[in-house]
Amino acid sequence: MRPLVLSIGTLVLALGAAWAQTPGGRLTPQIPFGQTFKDFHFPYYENGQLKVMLSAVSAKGTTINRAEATELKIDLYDDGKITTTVTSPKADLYIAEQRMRTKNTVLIERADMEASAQSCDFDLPNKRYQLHENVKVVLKSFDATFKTPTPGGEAPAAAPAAAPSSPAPRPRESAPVIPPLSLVPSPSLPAHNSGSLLDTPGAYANTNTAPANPPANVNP
Amino acid sequence: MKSCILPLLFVTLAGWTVPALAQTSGDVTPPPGGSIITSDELRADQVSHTATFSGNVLAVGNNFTLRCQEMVVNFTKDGKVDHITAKGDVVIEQPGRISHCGQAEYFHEDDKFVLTDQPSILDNKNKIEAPKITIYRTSQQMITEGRTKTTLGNGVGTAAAPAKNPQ
Repeated sequence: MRPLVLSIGTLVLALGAAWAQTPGGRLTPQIPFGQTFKDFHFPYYENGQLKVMLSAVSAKGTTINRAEATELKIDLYDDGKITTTVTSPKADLYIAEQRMRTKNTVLIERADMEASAQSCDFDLPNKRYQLHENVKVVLKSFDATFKTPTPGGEAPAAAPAAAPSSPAPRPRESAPVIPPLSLVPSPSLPAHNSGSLLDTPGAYANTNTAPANPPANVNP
Repeated sequence: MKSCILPLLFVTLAGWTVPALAQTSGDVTPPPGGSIITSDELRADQVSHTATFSGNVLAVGNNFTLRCQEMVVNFTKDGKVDHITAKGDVVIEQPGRISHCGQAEYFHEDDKFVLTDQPSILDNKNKIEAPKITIYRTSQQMITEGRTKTTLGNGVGTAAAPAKNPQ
């Protein structure tokens, strides 16, 4: 009788421990401890739709809740299309929480950007991630450069005579416009430069508005 | 013996130093039409479409660099940059021009930069200071709000525009 009670107690404890390691005690898939799976694929569905696909060359269960994956690739889906791809040569997968953690470099690719770093903590269901060390993000569709307008282009050419026709966004504030600094006589700088405001040194021309208070005593 | 050790030491040091330099500088050449942002840390939320860069933030465009301590980028749902806020020792560098401020914001809708928190723009020898400086990127307009100080270089002198209430 006593061995039976003890074995039941042990079983209850083991189940309790397993339950405690899953969020809310949900029944979640696990990679058996100590086992290694080659060509590992783990799809995650939500409301019948594929949300996440975990793939790895190998995945080894290191604890009841953690697997060590090599050549990991995670595809995040939205409306059946891959929106984000996460790759890492070696990472830990927390299957129950659907988290990925690595200190062995990560690359996150989206259509509009590409992010890389040495370490990463990715919360897959909430699509949140933190990158640390040597973080580098390439914004593919945002040019931070102060553009130089070209004739016939979107921005107007800086022709002083045609300045009033500039399709510049009208300032909402009635603040004074800075006088063009090209008032300073300089043989190398024309009074109205065709360069953009911050592209060409000294080119504060084409402000289209007369100086609010032009300095009268500008004598070099 | 010394003649052997010194070249060996040099080669060893070079072996340590060169990769370290390469890693520090990195490839920060932005792609055509794109930009590169590097930092110590990034927190991104793809549900709220925000990315917060912190620690030694450096944004590099073609002919343009921006340094600051923290930068928050808000994206539109289709992944375009909508709004950027750069805070903390903001320095914008371009050839012949450097801008300093405590905070710089970019608004995609108006394609404008708003510099606040003691902004100043040093363009060669000319300097503009005002409580708030707005730069419309495509139209090349610059608007200041509050008391504006314009210092003309080449020994010309200083011209201070009178303050006007913006509203």
